[in-house]
Amino acid sequence: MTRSPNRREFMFGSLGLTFAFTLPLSSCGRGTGGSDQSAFFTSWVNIDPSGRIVIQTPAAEMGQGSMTALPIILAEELDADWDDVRIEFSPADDRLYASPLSWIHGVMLTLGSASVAGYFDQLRLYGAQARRVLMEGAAERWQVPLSELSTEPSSVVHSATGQRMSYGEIAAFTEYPAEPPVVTIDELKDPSLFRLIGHDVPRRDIPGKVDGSAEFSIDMQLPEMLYATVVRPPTKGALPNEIDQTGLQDIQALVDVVTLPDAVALVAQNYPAALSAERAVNVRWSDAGDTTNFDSDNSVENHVRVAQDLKATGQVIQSNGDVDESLQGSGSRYEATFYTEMVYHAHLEPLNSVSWVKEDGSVEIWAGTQAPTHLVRSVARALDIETDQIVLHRTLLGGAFGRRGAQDHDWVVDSALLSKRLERPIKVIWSREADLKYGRFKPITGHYLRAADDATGQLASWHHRLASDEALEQSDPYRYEKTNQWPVIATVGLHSPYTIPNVKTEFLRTHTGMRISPLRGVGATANTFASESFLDEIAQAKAIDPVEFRLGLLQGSAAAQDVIEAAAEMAGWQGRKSGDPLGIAYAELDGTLFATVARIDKDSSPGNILVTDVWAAVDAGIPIQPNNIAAQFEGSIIFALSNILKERITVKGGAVQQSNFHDYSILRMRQAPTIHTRVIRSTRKPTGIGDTVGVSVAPAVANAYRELTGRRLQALPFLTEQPLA
Amino acid sequence: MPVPSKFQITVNGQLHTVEAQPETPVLWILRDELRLTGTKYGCGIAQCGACTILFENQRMFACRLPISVADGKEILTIEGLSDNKDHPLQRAWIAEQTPQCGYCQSGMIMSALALLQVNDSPTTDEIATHMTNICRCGTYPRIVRAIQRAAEEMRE
Repeated sequence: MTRSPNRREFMFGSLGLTFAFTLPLSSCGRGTGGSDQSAFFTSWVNIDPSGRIVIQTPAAEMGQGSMTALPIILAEELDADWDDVRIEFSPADDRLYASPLSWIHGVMLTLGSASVAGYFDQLRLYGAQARRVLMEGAAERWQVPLSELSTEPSSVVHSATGQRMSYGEIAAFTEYPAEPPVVTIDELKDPSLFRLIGHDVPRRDIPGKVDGSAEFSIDMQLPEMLYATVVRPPTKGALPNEIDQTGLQDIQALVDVVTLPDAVALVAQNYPAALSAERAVNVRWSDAGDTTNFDSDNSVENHVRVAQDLKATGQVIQSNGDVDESLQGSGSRYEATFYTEMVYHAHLEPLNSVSWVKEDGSVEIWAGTQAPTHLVRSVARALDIETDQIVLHRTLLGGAFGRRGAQDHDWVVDSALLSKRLERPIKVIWSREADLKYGRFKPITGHYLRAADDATGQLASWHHRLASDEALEQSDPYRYEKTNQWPVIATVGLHSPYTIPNVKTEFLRTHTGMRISPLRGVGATANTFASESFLDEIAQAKAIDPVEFRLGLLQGSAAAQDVIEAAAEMAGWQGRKSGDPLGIAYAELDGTLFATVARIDKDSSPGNILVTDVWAAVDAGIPIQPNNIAAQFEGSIIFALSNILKERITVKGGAVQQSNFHDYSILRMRQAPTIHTRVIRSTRKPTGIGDTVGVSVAPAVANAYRELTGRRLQALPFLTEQPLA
Repeated sequence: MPVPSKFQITVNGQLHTVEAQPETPVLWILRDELRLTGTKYGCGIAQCGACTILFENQRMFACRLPISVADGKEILTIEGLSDNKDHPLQRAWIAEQTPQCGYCQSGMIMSALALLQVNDSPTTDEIATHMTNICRCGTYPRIVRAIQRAAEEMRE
């Protein structure tokens, strides 16, 4: 088997290292502040004499609920009364708050469904260490052995004498030591004693999201602030040559037209004036060279051709046995081709930021980001200053889906450069048109799959060739280099979860020159569509029930079989009638196992597929917030359905042809199916949530369509039934 | 282009005088002049519904409502929905743990309010037909449940 720095192997590979964490002392007195500040503060949790417990949360809150889920893990082991807990976004500091997962390479990143999975052990140990320090403080005060003490929510109790002290009282005289006590895994709470984990604590961000008070960066206001929009070239790589301002004369509130390195900014006293200027300005751009020739229809054809051309050998991602030889055996052979088109993130809060470059050279920034330390480094580089001159105020994110994780933070550098130039606070909001037309999209993929049975009729070989560009090179050059340019984004989900003796998966890099990005589900969306559609086609050819076929190929994994059986049971798979348009798909992603069954309406046709029901069964390890996990699965399924039923970015002459939600459709409530989720109560460590279930939706729908019509959908989105060569 | 003019609008029961170009969308008056930022900008072309308000008690997209048309009229935004953040819709939204990123939810709630004013017991189908706002996070199933929960409470 080829050794490869696969994302999942990194994750599992890191588990052995996870118990070396020591809760660090706070390097600065931030957090609680005020005159009653106790000496009990660390970089992650502060307790003040009033009993208030402030927990720092490193992850971005972009809808996934980590802002609540991560502090719950620490509070559980601290044995905190949840009502005492306040949550703050941690500062941007990789030394203290980087994800412990090795594949993230030591930075703060909220992506890949990795927050709870990544910080779980660390947060438990930090909570347990803080609790131990409080117990030691009480033991010393009462002059009793530590072993006689226990805790109740936010209190230490000596049951022999009936004495008790609140955490706040103890924090008033207890300093968090430079050498914190050692706590081992065996001393952590037994999961059966959890009071918070698994008990559906209400999300802390939700009240502000129903009364208008939740603050996104777009809501930030500063005195003397100016507003700006930006115009970027239609084609990647072009630069502003000449700006025709004749249409701008009448816009009284327009303050300045500023040429940025790769854009033109329209700065005004109010945002509608900036928007008017964006529509009126006429910028002539330099020739962008090759990218001007990019045409998405041609690119799709090219990706299919590259995938099919067996003369070209790709980068081998997975190799078991000898595929080439086993494909030449005497059993039945199968082959199929698939492709997927470009998708836009469509975060409902357009990219925006507020920057204030002050006279003394210090900078304050308000922005929503999945990568706060990359943000600070990118702005420091753009302004040619040190990172410690920048204070980042992390706000809530109005959706992200991968776009707000781009290392270069182009939407933040814009406001920083403009604020420096105009010596005023600046809010830059990319108009929806700018956000879409200069978007960075899920790349096009082409897939060619072959398989063969052995002489006894058992599936014996599996070959999946993926042709795609690799988004990581643009979105995160730091990680791209750290992973030795491994195609981390494109190849996720390419590994087959099934027991097949001979397996080869290959990656063929296309260099499209287009602006591309990771997008929720990353490569697994396309790869699972192709592989689970193909597997279903093989089951059909063999006249084996698709559920039975999958169970047979997963005999080594009881957990995988459990989720498939659960999904089938929920959907009434056994009792279904012939021609009942149900389809199933199974996948594994970010350590999570999931099976999805979809039912489509009998009147469905290409371009008009109505999905009526989706059933999903998931094993994601210990569920921290089961109700929120169900919400994430609902969202992930609807996001995926929107992608596969509605969404397509097309490009001609290097320019995106869509511009706003009138010509780039998003699934509305009317088209949303009834969703049934089952979260299996597992005792494995928590694994990924937000990215996961959605990736199995496309093949489940395609398999249902095959059941209904006898025809195989080969292209995402499902707008055409046109067969491929 | 005409010079800015003065307009009077009543927002959440308070009278405001604002100076603006007549074509200025009410969205930006609410957000940047009156600092009522719960009403969101999502598309600017009356497609996504993030800017939904009640205008003269009717559902309206603030991004396409010129201030000159709103002169002398009444507007209700998410901030004016209740005094103590306890309108049945807000309580139902919390009970169902509806929002994810939350950016669309002010508009969703205002849109739901418009529905419940004319239909005190909407079916799932009626809700789905009325609620055309975009939620990119996919909270639609919980929005349906929250509206029906609020409707039940408001009927009692």
